[in-house]
Amino acid sequence: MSERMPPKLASWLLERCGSSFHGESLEGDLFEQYQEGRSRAWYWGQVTAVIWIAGARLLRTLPWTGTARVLSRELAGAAAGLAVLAIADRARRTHSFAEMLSPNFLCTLTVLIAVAAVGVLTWKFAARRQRRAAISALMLVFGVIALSAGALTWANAACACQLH
Amino acid sequence: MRKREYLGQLELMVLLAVIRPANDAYGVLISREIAGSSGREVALASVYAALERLENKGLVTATLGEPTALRGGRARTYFKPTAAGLKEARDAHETLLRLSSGLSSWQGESA
Repeated sequence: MSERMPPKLASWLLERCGSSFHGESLEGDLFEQYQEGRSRAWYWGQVTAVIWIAGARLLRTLPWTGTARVLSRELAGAAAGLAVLAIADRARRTHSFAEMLSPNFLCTLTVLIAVAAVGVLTWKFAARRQRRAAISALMLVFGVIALSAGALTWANAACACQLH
Repeated sequence: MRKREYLGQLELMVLLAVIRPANDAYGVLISREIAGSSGREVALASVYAALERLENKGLVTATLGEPTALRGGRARTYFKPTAAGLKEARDAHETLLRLSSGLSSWQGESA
C-alpha cells in the first residue's frame, strides 16, 4: 500500500510547533488519520489548531515582567538616541542666532530635550530588575511615548526647515 | 485542606474517554470517542493539551509505545487513568447526576 504524503508545508509547521505535545505522538496521530483518508483541508485545520494552541501556551509562559523590561529599555534607548540626533540635525539646519531664539525652534528644542531626558531616565531604570509587572508596563508605555514624541518632533522640525 | 480544582468540560470528556477503552487509549481513539459520543469533532491538539493538564494534575499517566509504519515511523503515546483520575471521574459523574435531577421537571417545555 502506498503512503499518502501530507502537505509538506503543514508537516514542516507541525514539526516545529507540535513537538511540545508528547513529542512525535501528535504528528503520528495526524499522519495515521491522513492515511485513513482524511482530506488535506482537514490536515491543515488540525495543524492550524496546533499552531494556535502552542502559541497561546507560549504567550502564557512568557516572563512578561522581563520582556517588558527589555523592551522598554530598548525603546527608551532608541528614543534618547533619536532625540539627540534630532537636536544635532536641527542645530545643523539653523543658519542664524536669531533663528535659534525663535519660539518654534525653542519649542522643538524643549520637546527634544524632554524626550532625551525621559528616554535616558527610562533606559537607566529599566536596566534594574523590576519585580512588579505594573512598573515594567509603565516604563514600556513611557518608552513608547518618548520614541513617538521624538520621531514626531523630528519629522515636524525637518518639515518646517524644508519649508523655509 | 487542599483546594479542590474542578475539571473543565473538555478535560472531563477526555478523562472519561481515556477510561472507556480498557488499555489502549491514545490520541486518535480518544478524539473518536469524544466525536462519537458528543457529536462534535475536537482538534487533536486540544485533546493533547487537555491530556497534558490531566497528567499534571496526576489524573492520567502516559506510556510511549513502539513506532509503527502506519504512523510514518512515529510512536503512539498511551494514556491510562490513575486511581485519583478514576475517583475524580466518579465524583464528577455523581455531582452531574445530582445537579441534573432538576432537568426532568423541564421536560416537554421548549426553551
